Amino acid sequence: MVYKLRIALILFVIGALSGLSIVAVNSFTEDIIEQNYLRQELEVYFDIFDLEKAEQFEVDDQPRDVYCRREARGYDADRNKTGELNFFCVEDDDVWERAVVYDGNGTRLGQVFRIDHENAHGEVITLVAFDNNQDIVEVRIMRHTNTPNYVRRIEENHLEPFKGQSLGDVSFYDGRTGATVTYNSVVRAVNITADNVMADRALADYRRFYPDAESHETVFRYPIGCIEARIAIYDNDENLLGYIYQATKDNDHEAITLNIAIQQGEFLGVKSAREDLASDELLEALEKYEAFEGEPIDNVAPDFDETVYDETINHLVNQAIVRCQEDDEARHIRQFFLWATSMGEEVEIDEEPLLSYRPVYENDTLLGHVYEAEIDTGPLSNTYEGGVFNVSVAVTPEGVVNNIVVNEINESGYVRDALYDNLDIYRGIDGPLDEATHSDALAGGTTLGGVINDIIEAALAYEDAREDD
Amino acid sequence: MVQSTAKKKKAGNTYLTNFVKGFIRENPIFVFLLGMCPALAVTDSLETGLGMGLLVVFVLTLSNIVVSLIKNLIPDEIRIPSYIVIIATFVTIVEMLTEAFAPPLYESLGIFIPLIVVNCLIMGRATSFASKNTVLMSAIDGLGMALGFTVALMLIGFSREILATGAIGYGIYLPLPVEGSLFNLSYALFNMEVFVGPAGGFLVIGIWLAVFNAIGQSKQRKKEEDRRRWIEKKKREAAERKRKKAMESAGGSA
Repeated sequence: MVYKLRIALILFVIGALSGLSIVAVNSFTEDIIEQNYLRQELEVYFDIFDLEKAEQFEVDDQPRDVYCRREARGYDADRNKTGELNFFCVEDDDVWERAVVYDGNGTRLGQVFRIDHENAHGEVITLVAFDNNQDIVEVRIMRHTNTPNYVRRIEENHLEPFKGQSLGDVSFYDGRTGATVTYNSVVRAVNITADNVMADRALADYRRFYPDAESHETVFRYPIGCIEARIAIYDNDENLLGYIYQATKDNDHEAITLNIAIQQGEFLGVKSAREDLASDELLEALEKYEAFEGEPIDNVAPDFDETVYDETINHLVNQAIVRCQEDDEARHIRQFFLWATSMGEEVEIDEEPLLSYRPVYENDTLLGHVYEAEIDTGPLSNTYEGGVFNVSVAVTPEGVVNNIVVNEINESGYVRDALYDNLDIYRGIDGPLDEATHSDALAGGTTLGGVINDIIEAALAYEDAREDD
Repeated sequence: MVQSTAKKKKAGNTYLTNFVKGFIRENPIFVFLLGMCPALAVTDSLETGLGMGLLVVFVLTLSNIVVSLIKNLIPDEIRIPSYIVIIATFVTIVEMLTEAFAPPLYESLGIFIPLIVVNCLIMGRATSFASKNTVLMSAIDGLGMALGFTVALMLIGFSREILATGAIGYGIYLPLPVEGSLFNLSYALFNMEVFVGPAGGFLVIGIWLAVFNAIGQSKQRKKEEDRRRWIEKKKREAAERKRKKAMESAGGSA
C-alpha cells in the first residue's frame, strides 16, 4: 500500500512540475503569440485588398459601444496612413469577427469575415474577403492545425475558384475542388459569410419600406400558396414597425419573388426581393404599384394587364393582402391552432378550475376547443405568495392537447422561465398526466407544475365528457 | 600524475566518442531508422529540416538530462509514463516557444511538432541510455544524437529542395535576419516537383540509406580485410616462431 502511494506521489509530483513549467512558459509567450497573429492577420488584410505595405500598425482595442470592437491603422515608413480596418464582432457564434477595410483616404474597399471552425482535425480559421459589390475578393486559410501538405494543396489549387464569385450566388463543391475536412471548413466559412451578407442585404431591402428597420424576424413561414413568409420588422428599440410578406410565383419566364410591405392595414409598397437580379421589365412593371403606396389595404385592388409580369404581381399582392387581413383577424386564435380562421361563441362552465370554452374553426371545419381555466393558490407559505394562474388550453376533438397559453401568472424569474420553456412537453398529451414526468420537468416539482397539471387534466376530462354527451 | 592525465584523456575520448557516434556510426535515421515520420514529412526544404532538428535537439537534450537526474527515483512500473510526461512537457514548451518566436516554422511544421512526443528516438534514448548513465553523459548523448538527427534531416531536406526547385531558401521559416535563396539552378534536372511530395521523400531517404549502407559495408569489408590480414600475419609470426624454435632445438642437439 505504501509502495503504491509512493508511486502515486511520484507521478503527482512529475505531473505538477510539468504543469507548472508549461504554465510559466505559456504566461511568457501568450502575449507574444497573440501579437504575432494579430500582426500577421493585419498584413493579410492589407495584402488581400492590395493596400500599400504597412510598416507599422497601430491597434486600438478599447471596448466601445459594440463589444470587442477595435480599430487598426497601418502606416508606411514615412508615417503616412496606408489603410484602416474596423473590426467588430457579429453575434452569431460562427462568425468571430468582421472587419471593414478602408484605404489610406478612408474609401471603403470591402469587408472580411474571419470564421473559426473546429473540425475533426482541429481549428481552422478562414478569412473571406469581399468587395462593396459583395463579390469575393479572396478566400484564405489563416490558421489551421491540419496536415500542412494537404492544406497547402487546398491553398494552391482550390481557393482560386472562389475569387470573383458573387456571395449571392456562390457555386463550389467537391467535384470541382476536391473534398477534404479542411476544405469543408472553408466551404462552411464561405456559406456563413454569404448567409450573413445576404441577411444584411435583406435588411437593406426592408429599409426601403421601413427606414428605421434594425432587425427582422420571420414570424410565419407559410407552407402553402404563394405567400412564403411573414417577416416582422423592428426598430432599434425592438418596436414592431410592420410586416413584409414574401411571395413567390413562377410565370412563364422566371420565378418572381416579391416583398410586399403592409403596416397596420396600410399598403407601403411592393419591390422585387432581388433587385440586383431582376429584369428591367419587372422593375418597370412594379413601378405602377407605387400608385397604391400609403393606401389602406382594403382600397388596394391591382388589376393591371399591360406586361407579362402584371398578372403575377397582381396575384401576389392580392394574396398578401388577403393573408394580412386573415392574420389580423386570426392572430389571437392562431396561437391555439395555426390554421384557425375563426372562433365560436364562448360557453361558460361551472366546473372548477374551468371557466369557459370556445370552439375554433378553420373555415367550417372544427379544429378543437380552447378552455380557459383559473386557479388562485393563495399564500402557501411564509415565502411563497402564490396567486392567480389563468391558462388557456387548446384541445382537439380527439382529446389531444394542441397548445397551452399562459394568460396570467403570479410568478417571475427562473420558475416562470422554466414553465415557458417546458410547456412543449404538454403538447400531444391525451390522457392522465404522469406527476413525476410533467410537474418535475416543468418547474422542479413546484406548486406551479401542479397547477398547470390540474388545469390540463380538468380540460381533458371535460372534453372527454362533452364528446361522450 | 601521469596516471591522472591518462585517465582524463581517456574520459575525454569517451565523451567525444559518445558525442560523435550519432552523426554517422549510430545515426538515428540512416542507421537505426528512428524518427522516420518527421524525416519524411517535414524535410521538403533544408530550413524546415533544420527547424525540426533544432526542436529535437532541445527536447532530446533536456529530456535526457531530466531522465538521468531522476532515474533512481522512478520505480520500473511507472518508468514509461513518467518519461512520456517529461518528454511531452518539453515538447509543449518548445511548441509554445516556436509559435512565439518562429511563427512561419510553427505553421510549416504544424502537427509534427506535437508529434515529437511519440518520436521513438527520444523515448529510445531516454530508456536505453539516460536511465542508465550519468547526467553529463546523458546530456552529451542527447545532444550528439539530436545533432546527428538534425544533420540527417538537413541532408534529406537539402536534397529534396535542390532537386525540386534548384535553389535553397533561407530566412523563410527560421527567424533569420535576411531572407533569400542560394544556388538558383535553372536546369531541368532541378525542377522535379515530385521531390517535394511524399514520394520524393521516400526516394531521397532511400538513396541516402543506400549511400550510408554502402559506406557501412565498405567499412565492414575493410575491417574484415584488416582482420584477415592480421590473422595471416599472426599465423606467419607463429610459424616463424615455430620454425626458429625448431632450428634452435636442432642446433642445440648438433
